[in-house]
Amino acid sequence: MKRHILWLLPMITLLLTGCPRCGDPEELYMGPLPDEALGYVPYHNGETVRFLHSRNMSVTFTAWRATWPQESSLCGECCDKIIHYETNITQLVPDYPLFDIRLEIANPDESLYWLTATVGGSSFRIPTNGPDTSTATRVDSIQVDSTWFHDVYLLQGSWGTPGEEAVYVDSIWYNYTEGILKIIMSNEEYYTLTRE
Amino acid sequence: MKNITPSPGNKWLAGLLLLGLLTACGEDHALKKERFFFQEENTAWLPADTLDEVFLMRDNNGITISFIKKSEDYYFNKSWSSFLGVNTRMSLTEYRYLSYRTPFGQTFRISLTAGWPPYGDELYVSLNGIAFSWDFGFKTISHLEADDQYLSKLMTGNGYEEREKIRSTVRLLDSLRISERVYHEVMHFTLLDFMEEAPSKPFRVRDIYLAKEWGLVRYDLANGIRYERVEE
Repeated sequence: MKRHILWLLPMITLLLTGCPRCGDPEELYMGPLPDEALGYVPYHNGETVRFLHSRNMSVTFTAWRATWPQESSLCGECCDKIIHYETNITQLVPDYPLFDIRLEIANPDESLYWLTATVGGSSFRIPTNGPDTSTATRVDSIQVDSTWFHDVYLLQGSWGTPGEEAVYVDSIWYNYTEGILKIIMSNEEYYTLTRE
Repeated sequence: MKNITPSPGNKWLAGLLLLGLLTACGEDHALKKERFFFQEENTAWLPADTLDEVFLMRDNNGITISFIKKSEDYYFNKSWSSFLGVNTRMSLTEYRYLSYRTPFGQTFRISLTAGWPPYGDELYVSLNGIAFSWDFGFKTISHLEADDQYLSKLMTGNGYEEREKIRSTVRLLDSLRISERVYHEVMHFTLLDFMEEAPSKPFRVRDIYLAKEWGLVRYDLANGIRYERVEE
């Protein structure tokens, strides 16, 4: 009996120590999205914005806006960190069978707000407060129809692999005071923000 | 000479052996095997587009959308009849399926299933949540879907039994002109069911036009927006 116990003890020790045990992950609370961050997306709940298609069709979008709590974890073999943050989602719903526009601003990072726009399946990363690592081009001013807009980002979308002749959202123009100013399609049709 | 008569136990054993022999060959073997193929004149309702091929449609306000062919499937559907675990009959039914979608999430699917007596080949068409099945033999809509609702005719040995009235229609047109092009042999579907929901669904597809060799060439929404094929 004693001999068995002598064998069992090292076996149990090996089992308990053989695999590294994960410690409790560090939990980071980023807090609520501040007004500064929300201000990168200028649409208000229930507000309507109108876009004019290049062949003169007018499409009105209604904005729906809400904030949701989020959680993300950085996990390898063990989870080192769990980050609690917020995402504010703005959905622009058209009164025409077209595409929805979705803007998401989030604070998963201490030094940077993440702002992405999804327009008809194409995604755009919009620069915010941190260092600009996107491929966006910023222009001081640009004219959309007869109106001049300032501090505008020209953003190229990523869509995956559309067919060569497919019609998809190629690029958008965006600034922090008006939101989306222009939507340019791959076939050169476009939509411009209109105030008429 | 000794007379050998099988004992009751041996009879059971012999029966089990026979059953084992008949079922041992698995699901791919049956006493009778039938293959059902498409009627040649119906195959042209499925367009011969290649994967990722694009077709364009423009609405009556000048907005262009593109449908991209995303998948295709072709195989023979297997079905069996059995008696006491023995496959007495196996059917192999020819089937082809194509699906398209726009970058904005609209979908168009079309498939053909070979008919078996007394039924004809069945064309299934689905566009943005509205779908119908057309039986070329009985020249009737056998199944209809609108979002999460559906109507179906019951299949019996003598044909369809209509439990619920399907009011939607399919008309076969000799031709349809869109811009400068004339499409020959066109199927025109009109949704006339589930109309109680119509006021709340202005973007619901109401009319679908399919042309032989081309596929979808026109569709109209409940609010009057019309999409037509663009050839550039």
